[in-house]
Amino acid sequence: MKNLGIFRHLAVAAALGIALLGGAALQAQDIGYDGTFTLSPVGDMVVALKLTLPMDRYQMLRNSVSNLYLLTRDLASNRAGVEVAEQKADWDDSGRTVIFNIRMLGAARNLGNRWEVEVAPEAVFSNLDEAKKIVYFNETASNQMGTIRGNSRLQLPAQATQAKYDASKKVVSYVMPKGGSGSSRAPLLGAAAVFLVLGLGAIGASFAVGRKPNARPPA
Amino acid sequence: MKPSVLRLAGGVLAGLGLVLGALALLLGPGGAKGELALDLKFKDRVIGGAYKAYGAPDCPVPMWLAKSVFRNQTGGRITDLRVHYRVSEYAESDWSNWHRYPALEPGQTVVDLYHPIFTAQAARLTSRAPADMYLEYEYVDASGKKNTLTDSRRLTMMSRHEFLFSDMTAGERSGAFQDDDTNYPLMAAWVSRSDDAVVGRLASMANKKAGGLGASESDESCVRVLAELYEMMRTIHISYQHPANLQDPSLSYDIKSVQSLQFPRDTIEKRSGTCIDLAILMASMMNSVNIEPYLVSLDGHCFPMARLPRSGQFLPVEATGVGDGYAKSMDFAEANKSALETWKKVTSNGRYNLVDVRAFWTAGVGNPELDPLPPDILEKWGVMELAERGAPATRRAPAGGGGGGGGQQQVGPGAAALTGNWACVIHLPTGQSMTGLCQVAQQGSQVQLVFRFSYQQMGQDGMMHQVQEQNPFQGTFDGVNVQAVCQQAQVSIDGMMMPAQGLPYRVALQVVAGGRGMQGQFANAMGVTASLALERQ
Repeated sequence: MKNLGIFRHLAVAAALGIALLGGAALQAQDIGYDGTFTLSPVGDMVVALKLTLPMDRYQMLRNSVSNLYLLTRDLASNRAGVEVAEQKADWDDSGRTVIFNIRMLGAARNLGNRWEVEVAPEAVFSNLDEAKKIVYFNETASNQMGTIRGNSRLQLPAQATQAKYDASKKVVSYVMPKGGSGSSRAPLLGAAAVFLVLGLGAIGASFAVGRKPNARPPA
Repeated sequence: MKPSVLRLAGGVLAGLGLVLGALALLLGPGGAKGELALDLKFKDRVIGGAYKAYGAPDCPVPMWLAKSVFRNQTGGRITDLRVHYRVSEYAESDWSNWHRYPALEPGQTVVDLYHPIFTAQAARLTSRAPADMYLEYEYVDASGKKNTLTDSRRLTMMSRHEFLFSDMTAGERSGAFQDDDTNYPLMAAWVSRSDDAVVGRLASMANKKAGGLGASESDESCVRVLAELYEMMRTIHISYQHPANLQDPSLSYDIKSVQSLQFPRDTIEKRSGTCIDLAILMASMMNSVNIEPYLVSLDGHCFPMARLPRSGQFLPVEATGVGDGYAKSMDFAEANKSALETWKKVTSNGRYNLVDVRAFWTAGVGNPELDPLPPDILEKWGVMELAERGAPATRRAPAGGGGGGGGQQQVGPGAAALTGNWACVIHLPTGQSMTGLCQVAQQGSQVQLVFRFSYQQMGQDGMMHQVQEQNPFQGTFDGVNVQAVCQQAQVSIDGMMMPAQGLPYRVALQVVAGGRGMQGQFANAMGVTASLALERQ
């Protein structure tokens, strides 16, 4: 996925930092990768990436990268090809893991009758769980220095239907219900109708309740 | 419940329904408020030498010129958003193609990137020039109304030699090495493939000197060809010069980040360049003979590196080892050793960036289209004469300037002009001077000098000892300059042979006083230098 690719590039950059320190020994052990990409109804994407390193590589990275900001500043709006609203990177010493959390705007493309998300050429489609609306991919990135290997999940919006993966175009597409992408008009109109019906009903009922009976029952 | 209370509640509910309905109609089609917001980002400097990279969306460095971030802040659906761009004079002659976005729901964001296809005009600039970028966009709002808007920005086209190492603003800098080198992949644009008239010819000559080996056949042949490429740079008298940073306070970036980079043709013509220029030249020559070239960019320095074809190992070369004259230059083995030490150091601390030249070419960092050079340009520059002769040039004084500019006289390498005995005196940095004899034998451009010194020196035991030295040098003579190296020396102290220290020794001499004298410099491998003067006996 293009977006995955971009963020995987970030992951590769982090790993490369390690590789630069580690050299050939890095080839012996892969770097674990886990990515979750969650789409909002308007096509924004929340990204959670985890890179799990062998202990020695983790220590080297920890020692050489004084601040993980060094790895995320390439996502600055004046530089990156994407628009990132929020970003955060953390060390998890106990898990030898570097964690990136990013919120990216406009990640999915609205084609009017459906939405599309591009998939990076290297991402290998694994499975589509229609019930959970999750698309699974296997991801591998390597250079002469080492390999990053793992899985990623693309979580589609809850309202999404007709999710498909087009292998030839490397695109995930889905359909959103009309007004389900954030329009504020429909709920308001619905509420207005309910209140109007209730109100008119109450007024009508008041006349029925207030009418006097024509005759007393026989004694 | 009383009818009046029920009626009142019904009235309130119905009124609320009417208010909500009206609100919905105001927010919905035909009554949407708010706007399609545009946040336009743009690169205010265009790196002319890397102009092709701007048209490559997958370039390792994001090279968009403009980024338009549209956000639908209306309450209704926007349709048929389309955007296009134009850069005056230096890009496609007309507007770019429309970038189309069929729909934007309320709250949706669209990010549109402009990757201009600049023309070769961008690489012809020898100084900065202003340019204007224009943006036009159209959309249909929720009421069906079509809107057309425009915007523009002024930007600066940098000259083809200017390189912006980093676009980090002061606020983004963290003090790390990476701050100053974010654009390192773009250096690949300067490693030219279109300079066959100069780079290709010289590299081909070097390859022949290596025995016409295929550099990609084996690691051994690759190393031999690489050594000859380096020697070719020395032979044509390429020398190292310190970089001159461009002081430009108008830059929003750190001024240290701008430096003039030369294309290989420039370095060959000027016969000098910074560490990056020399690395670029050597990488370009490597590529020309099918050696996989790399550049290593580190704190304030750069050197080239080859990837050996069989083992895949890197072989770094300190290109600045060509120095400034043979007396201050390294041979290939030394240049390799020096770069290897640096390479080991930076791979242990991570403070470097690796420019995989071919990979970055493939990723879109293309070479600029430079004006073609005439096939005999090397002859016109006087480079071929040097390359064919295989001797140092006449145009440069020996390192240290021992002879100064005056007194130069072309003696002619053909004649045995230097043959004979010369009295010599060497002035050490300690203030000491020693006198001796030098026997010179010259045949064509080949020259042999045998220096003999006899002097007394105080030893660590506090006693004076008699020292005798005999130092044979082999080298070349181009009519004015003598460059020679001593690989083996005989030293005896009180008649006892001792191992010589600081080998190899080098001398760079210049013929002065109408051929009756020579002046220059002596240097050993430990960095000790001394001035040297010879007078014909």
